Amino acid sequence: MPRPQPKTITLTIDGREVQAPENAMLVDAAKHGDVEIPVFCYEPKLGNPVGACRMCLVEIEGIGKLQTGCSTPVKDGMVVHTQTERVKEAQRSVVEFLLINHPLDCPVCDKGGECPLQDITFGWGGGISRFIEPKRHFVKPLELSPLIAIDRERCILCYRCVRFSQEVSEDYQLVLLERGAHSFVSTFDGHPYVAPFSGNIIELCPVGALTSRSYRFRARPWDIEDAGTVCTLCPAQCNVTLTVRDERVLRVLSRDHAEVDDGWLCDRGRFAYPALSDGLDASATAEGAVAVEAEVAVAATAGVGVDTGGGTALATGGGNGGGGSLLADPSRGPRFGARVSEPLLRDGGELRPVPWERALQEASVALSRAGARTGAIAGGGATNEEGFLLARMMREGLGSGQLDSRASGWLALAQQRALAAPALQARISDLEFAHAVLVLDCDPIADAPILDLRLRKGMRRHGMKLERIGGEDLLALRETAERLAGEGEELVILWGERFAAGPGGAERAQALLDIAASLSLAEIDGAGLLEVPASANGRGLREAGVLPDAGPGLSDLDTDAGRDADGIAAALAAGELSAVYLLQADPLSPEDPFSRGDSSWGEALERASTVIAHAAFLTEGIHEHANVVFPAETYAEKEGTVTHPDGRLQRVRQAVAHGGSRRAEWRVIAELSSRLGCDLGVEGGKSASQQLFDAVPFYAGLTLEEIGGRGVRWQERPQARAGVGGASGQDSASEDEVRTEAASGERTPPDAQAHSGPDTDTHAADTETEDADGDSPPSDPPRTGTDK
Amino acid sequence: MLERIDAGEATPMDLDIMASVQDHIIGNCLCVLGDAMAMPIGSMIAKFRGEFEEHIEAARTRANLALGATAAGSEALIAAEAV
Repeated sequence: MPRPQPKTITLTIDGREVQAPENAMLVDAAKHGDVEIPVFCYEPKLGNPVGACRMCLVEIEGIGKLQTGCSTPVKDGMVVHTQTERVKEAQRSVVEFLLINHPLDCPVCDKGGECPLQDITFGWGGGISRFIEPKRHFVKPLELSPLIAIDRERCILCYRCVRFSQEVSEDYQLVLLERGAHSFVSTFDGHPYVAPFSGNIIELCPVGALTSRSYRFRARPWDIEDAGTVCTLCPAQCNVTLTVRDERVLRVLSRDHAEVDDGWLCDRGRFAYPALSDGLDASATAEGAVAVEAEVAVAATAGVGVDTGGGTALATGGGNGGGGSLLADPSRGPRFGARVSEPLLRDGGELRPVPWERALQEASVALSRAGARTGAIAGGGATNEEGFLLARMMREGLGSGQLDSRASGWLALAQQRALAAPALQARISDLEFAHAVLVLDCDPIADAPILDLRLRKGMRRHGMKLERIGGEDLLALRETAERLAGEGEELVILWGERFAAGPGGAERAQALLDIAASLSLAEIDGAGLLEVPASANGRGLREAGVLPDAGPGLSDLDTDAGRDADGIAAALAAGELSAVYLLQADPLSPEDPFSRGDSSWGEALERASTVIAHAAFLTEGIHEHANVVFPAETYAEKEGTVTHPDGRLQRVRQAVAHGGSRRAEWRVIAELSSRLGCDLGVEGGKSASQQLFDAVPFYAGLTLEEIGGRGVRWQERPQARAGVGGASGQDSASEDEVRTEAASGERTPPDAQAHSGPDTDTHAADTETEDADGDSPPSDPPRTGTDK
Repeated sequence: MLERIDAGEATPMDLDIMASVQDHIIGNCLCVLGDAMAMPIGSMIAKFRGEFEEHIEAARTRANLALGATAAGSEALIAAEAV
């Protein structure tokens, strides 16, 4: 299905000539002319408009009745009036109608201050109501689900939530019961609304009828600050806005990006936030209990493990004293599963908090003793920079090439390069517009949930054909792919990393490449392969050089190839390697992609004389086996870049200050490396990113400003023409050109950087005190609050 | 609103509100059932306004009488107690 290429037409709105794409809805077209038409029920993400709320009535010349702007496609030469007395009167009466039964309890409503009904009433309403009759009453608030509270009195019956449930997530659970003035939103038979994407209806609701139970009464919009970043809980890397109050993440909202998440979030990403920042005394308050309960519900429905302790870890005395002591007994060392907020050292069989100096010293002594007999694996939400610096420390500081980020094990470098070839990469939006999609050994709802909604959208709205297949039968795979290619030339194969795992992985990867070649997916725009890596930043870590047989950008190594993850485990168990560095990976934790489900890693960590880990939480393997644990940042505390499975580099921005005595991980790795006698020359987060961009050929010339708030897909940059890992045909002229551009870009003042609007507010307030080693934290403009 | 008319709590201003509400419903609503109800109400108010006003007035008088009766009754009661 080729993407629609609408032609531009001209219409007149309020006397202005407005250029807009043909068949755009009038409400959207008006925005091109800076005319705002108020809406409640209209939301293009939900599909076809319904015209239920009547707020968008406008006058169109030649049509007698007022028309709804949200469901009227624009035509060339249309003349529209939005400011006539007739329109204004209709808008006033619609607001009056909507408020007949609205309780106007704004002072106690969570939505107050960020409520479209409030805004529109102020902007377009009459200011008074002539109705003195009693309003309708419902029991309030009801629990729609463990996560969501519903207040049916506040509901204006706009149908948004029902449409989401019916037409986007397709769980068909929400319905409008009764008719006319008696209608209300409910689920069938009052069952709780439990679905993987249920949280989106909170954000969709234009009034305070649907509120998050865990955010309820936590903050008002004027108490909070917004921080745009990228969720790195899964490879989908949805763009999010974190709601921050007093250095705590209180809410996760979607930051609409049509090429990444389409404006939706899964419940895991939306509700697992108590784990993101310190200081939420989850067990100390009743509201906290709701948050934890909600979290458990999410974990149960989404099948993921989150820390049920609610994010509070050690009793460090910082900010959250009282709550912390409930969860950890200082005399017995940190509790299993707790958040790590300061360096830990195993002493007498127990992990105990130690100062940074001691932890770094112990780690560097142990690493230099092991030297080249050190292995490393990186996973989780480790950023490109962290992976890159880890690889440099391993290769340059320790002379060891034993490092891996592919949880599925070794794959020949040539195959990896072929699979990562720029022309072969499908975009996320291709999943929606392709003629057919083959889901190969991948379970979108578990691996990258938001892709599930994208596939549903493709099928529902664009008639995309979808098939799922496991990876065992290569003959069946080929047949299915060829059959689907018959649906149309644009075929996207969405494949999971595990397809190419284990013995026979190379053969299967080759089969996939052969299919792609025979169907010439690389030549067709809109067709291609899209891999869902096992770890959230799997693609970025590989491209940063965290591979046993490749350097940055999948380049050739001068040295011999090292072992892959399984090889490292085997070598540790056999005593060939003596130390292992776990960067946000715990192969003993069942949720971790490196987990093998057998005893191989258990034996490996048992035999290893040194286990050094960066961990946000004390999971099984870390708690049992780590000698030194450095506290890892969550994505809300991190600054760096990650690479989306389709090659989009995105920035992870720091939203809250480091809790406890946590430090930036790139800094810990750089410090450790310099203690090993290898100064990485990293002066700040920016210089780490710069080193990465200089080292990876197809990232060359990138700047953090260029990546900005929307990300940059490297396949679309001129540097990608050189291909992946290939030393041939480097287009040096274009590279120089881009470098010059980048250099001039750097001279612009930080405030004038090309961020795309308020959603990317620079929001790094690192309140961490200066360390003895004198690293200066990146200087950032002051954060900005919400303008309310 | 109709209950208020019947209870004698309405004023002729309520008729104006009804007339304007039906005017705003006609042509502006998604569902034509709205128009179907608004049209007869509109013509009723337009054609028989006098009768509605009479009805409102009659209800008010009724209510006032009832109120007056109660008030008179309680006054009598108080007087009786005083004696």
